[in-house]
Amino acid sequence: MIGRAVIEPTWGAAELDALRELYSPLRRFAAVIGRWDVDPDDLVQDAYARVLRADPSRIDDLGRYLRRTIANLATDQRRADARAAAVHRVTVVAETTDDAYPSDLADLMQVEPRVRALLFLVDVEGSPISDAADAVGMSSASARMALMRARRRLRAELNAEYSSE
Amino acid sequence: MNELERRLDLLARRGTPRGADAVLEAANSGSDGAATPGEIDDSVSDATPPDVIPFVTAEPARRRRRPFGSLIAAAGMAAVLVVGAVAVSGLLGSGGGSNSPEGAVRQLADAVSHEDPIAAADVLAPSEVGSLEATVSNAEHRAADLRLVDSASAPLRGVDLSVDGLQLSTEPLGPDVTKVTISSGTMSARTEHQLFSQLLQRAMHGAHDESSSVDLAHLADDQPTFLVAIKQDGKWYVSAAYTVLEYVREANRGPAPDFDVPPASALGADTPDAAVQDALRALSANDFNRLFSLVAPDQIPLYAYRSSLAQAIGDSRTDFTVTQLSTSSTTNGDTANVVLHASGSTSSGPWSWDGGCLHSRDPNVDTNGDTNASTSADYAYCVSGTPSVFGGLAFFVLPIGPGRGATSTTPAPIAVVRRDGRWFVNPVGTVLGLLDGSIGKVDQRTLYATLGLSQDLPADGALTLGRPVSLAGDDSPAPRVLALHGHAGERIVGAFDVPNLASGDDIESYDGGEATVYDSDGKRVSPGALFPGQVMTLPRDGDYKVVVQVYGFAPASGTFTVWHEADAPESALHPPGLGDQQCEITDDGGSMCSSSSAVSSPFDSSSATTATSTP
Repeated sequence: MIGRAVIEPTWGAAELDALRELYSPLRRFAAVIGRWDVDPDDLVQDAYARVLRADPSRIDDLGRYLRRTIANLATDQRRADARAAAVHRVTVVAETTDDAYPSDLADLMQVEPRVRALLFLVDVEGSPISDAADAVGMSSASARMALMRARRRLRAELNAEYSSE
Repeated sequence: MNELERRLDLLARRGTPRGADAVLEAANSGSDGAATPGEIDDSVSDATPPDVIPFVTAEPARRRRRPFGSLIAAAGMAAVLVVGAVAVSGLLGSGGGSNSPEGAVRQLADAVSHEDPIAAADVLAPSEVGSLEATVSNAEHRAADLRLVDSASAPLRGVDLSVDGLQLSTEPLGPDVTKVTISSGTMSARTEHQLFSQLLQRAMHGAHDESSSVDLAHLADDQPTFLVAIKQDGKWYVSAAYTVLEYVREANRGPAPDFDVPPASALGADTPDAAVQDALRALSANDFNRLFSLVAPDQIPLYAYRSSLAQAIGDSRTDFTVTQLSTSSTTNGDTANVVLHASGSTSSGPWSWDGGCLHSRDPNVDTNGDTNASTSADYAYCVSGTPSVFGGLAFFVLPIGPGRGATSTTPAPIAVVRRDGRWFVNPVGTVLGLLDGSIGKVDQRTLYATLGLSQDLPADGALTLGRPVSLAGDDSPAPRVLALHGHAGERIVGAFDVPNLASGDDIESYDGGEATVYDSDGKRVSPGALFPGQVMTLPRDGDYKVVVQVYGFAPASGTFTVWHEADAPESALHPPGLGDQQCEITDDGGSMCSSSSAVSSPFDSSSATTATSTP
């Protein structure tokens, strides 16, 4: 490109290593928050592609930036697909997708994805609620409420499942 | 690790990781394609994190290219440049435009930089935006009436836009149609919250002034940014319609547009009713050429772009038949409004359109966007201009769930125009008509709910402990605000009683809704919400507000009741299926749930009486 009016920021070796180090936790996060039929690596790749266009010196917390990006990408996909599904059912033959998931994950997959991601970040990864809320784009208060409700319901369902075995 | 944690961990490990290097390399090649793995030195914008970018952005690149997906992306990109300049416009001049295609784009950029909506509107194609003036004026005044802005004449006060370093190149696409590519340039935005209206400042409490900028040359993931300019009456204007269609063509690598279009007299339909009826029949028959010929070519050149649109549509086909069709129209000169009633069937069952609502029997779509074929129900999607607090495109389409007999009380007419003696469907006019209706229906209650300020509204009524509040007959999606006079130490519990909840609902919908309690200072009372099994202790004597929000697919009937703990029914204190667990928000912001169940639970790491506490 010629005649650019802005200084081009660069991603050096250190910054790229930081991205590599974040890959595993980001992939796990993407696997929890994304649709079942979406490869978690695709979400991570999209997030990387976006951050590579940003100025690394202006990003204070790369992990936070990327988690929010993945959460937003996953939300965009769900909203667009839900809206399109309503019209597609009438006007367009729907594309078939293989969305079957294991039975022991069925209860989890019924949880709203951002709440599912909250459960994962707080209960599995040990994140403070404020950090987890920030990662999925919720307020801390909403996140606390959502976690409480999700744990109550899942606790009941798991108890019922356990009792029936 | 308890069972829940084990399952979460299992979910997190799904699939086969491709590895950091492979993903990073793929992302690098997709970001701009030219950099080496070790150093990326090309086309990097200084975009800030997505949650602070104030513009509409393009849809992210998808692994599967869906029909119309590129259309959505193109509309987003066009909106970045157009909406920033024409968010609100006072007047549309008929003598605007520029002497060249490049001049039209520079004029638009200059108008954005100077926040001059009139100058911006002057350079947009009059044939496309001619009916926008009334809608925009309507929106301005409504925003001022509701105190969303301090003055209708300065709706963008507090937002500073700037376009800098613009470099352009041009490429003729056809007679009087030129593509103007932005080879470099940045658009910056800065907010100064103290200049916003008091209402907006309250809604943004705690937010800081922000600034961000985008690289205009690379708004899309995989193609350069451009606008299309067209020549009308000797002047060049920026065309939103041509721009969107050209993006669709580029994204799908479609054939060049065919500007050798028959005159309007050879297209369209004989009457306003025939234009609408023929369009529906064409859509049902997948006759897209006929469908495109029924849209005024000077408004949206679908017919010229029919080949690339057909390519974008690909093998997708509509899945509905039309068995009954009737229309009624009112004509005023060269314009008309047509109300459509129709019905037929799809592979899922019958459908009908009653003039404002589409009724169908479909499997549920859950929050993952997946269909849940184990249940099906009658759903309605109404475009009657009912405002929605759920934002975005839900403003136009409000889904109504089962058990709620939705019929359109206000028909949504389809606008039609006459050109050279023939009648054409007017999509822009139709949408603007809906928008006008929606704007007129936005009231303080809806606006405050959208801004998260329902607790600042006057109460709709009083809440009496032990007395159910009926939720029936309330078509507004905005929450209700109820006044409660409480005492320090008073322990209360609340519950919704909602019959016919939509099946397949997500976990947050189980209770039917949410009731949030605020004290007289507008602060939430811990633990914030009232729901079964959760006892709330009021902190002091005084007046409280209870904001009652029924979830999503609102039921046709139901009640919400709050009791003193001592008077509450067993079902409210100990909801079925939840055992006797009680949860409290702890001082450090976590939640503690406890149960005296004698049966050990896979939920907990230990057995018998348990308490789980999380940070």
